[in-house]
Amino acid sequence: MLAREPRRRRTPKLALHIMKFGVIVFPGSNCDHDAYHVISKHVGQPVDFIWHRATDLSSYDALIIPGGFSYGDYLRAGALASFSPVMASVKQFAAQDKLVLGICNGFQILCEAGLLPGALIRNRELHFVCEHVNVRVESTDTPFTHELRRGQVLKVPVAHAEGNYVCDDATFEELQRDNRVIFRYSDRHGRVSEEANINGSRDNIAGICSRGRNVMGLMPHPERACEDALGSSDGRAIFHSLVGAVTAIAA
Amino acid sequence: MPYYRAFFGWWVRAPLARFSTPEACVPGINMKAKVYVTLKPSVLDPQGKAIKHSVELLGYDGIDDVRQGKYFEIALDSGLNEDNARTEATRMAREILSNPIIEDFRVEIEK
Repeated sequence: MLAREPRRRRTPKLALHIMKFGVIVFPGSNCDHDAYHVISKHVGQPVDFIWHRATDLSSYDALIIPGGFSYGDYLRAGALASFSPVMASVKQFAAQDKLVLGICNGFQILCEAGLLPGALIRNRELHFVCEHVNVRVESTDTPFTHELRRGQVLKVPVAHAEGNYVCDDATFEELQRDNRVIFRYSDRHGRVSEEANINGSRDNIAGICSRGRNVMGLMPHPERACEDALGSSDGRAIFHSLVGAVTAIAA
Repeated sequence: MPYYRAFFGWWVRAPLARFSTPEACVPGINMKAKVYVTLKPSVLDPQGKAIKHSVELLGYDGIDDVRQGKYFEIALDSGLNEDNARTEATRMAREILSNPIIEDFRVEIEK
């Protein structure tokens, strides 16, 4: 008798703890559905789209500010979105130590809103960079990366024209001292070098977190790296970390 | 009905607004705020660099540096006097038009 092929698991593994996610949608967001898909299909938690005019975020445990071109990147990338009604509520949300993850344009919005220090300016080479890059995990002491290893290299896609992270020396020293740089662009062996710096960011910074470590912004797109069919599934660990973090707090 | 009330409210108030302050009574002195936003000297300007490169390719000599910035023209309500206009435009420039981390700004008021 032929051995029976094991049945593929159809439901996501993690469905034990219910944690409600919100994906904020601005006019011009275009990675909102990717984030929604990852949370609902791979992480297996309830998730809602939140329109940028909403002000009540009390029912959510974590927010994702997705990538895209909010307001057409007019004025500065993320600037106009940071003045939209929902951002005032996001600031209160973050002040309650709840989790906010900004991806790509979301990172730009968080910087413009003052939830993260520094700013993102035009790429050094002026090109729109759209490729898979390697980022090295620099800190696992956050709710977003505690399921990763320090020094681990993730293969994730980037797609941006304004991802060149700049900040003044005082801010940079503070980021270094408090271990708030979460990801750096590196080669696939984890070597941080000038060649691996795709956009000219200061000290290869690809992602940072806030002083309270509950707000993280990063330029690469982990939500586009959650299925092997898309070339990489390294991004999943970030979303699984998020769920683990909240359930740990609740427990 | 609230809908009608809002409409007639506007109907009555809009013409009267022209006479709300002494300045507003004088017709035709609309001011303009000009806001110049430039990158701080410490921030690298890749766009300016590319422009400088192109300009040099065209054979222009003696160019030391090119920095690219932004320019805004804001038409102001005739009800504002110059001091108020400057205050308002400066606030706007600081809070929205520029990012204080990377940019400086300068405000001019034109009568």
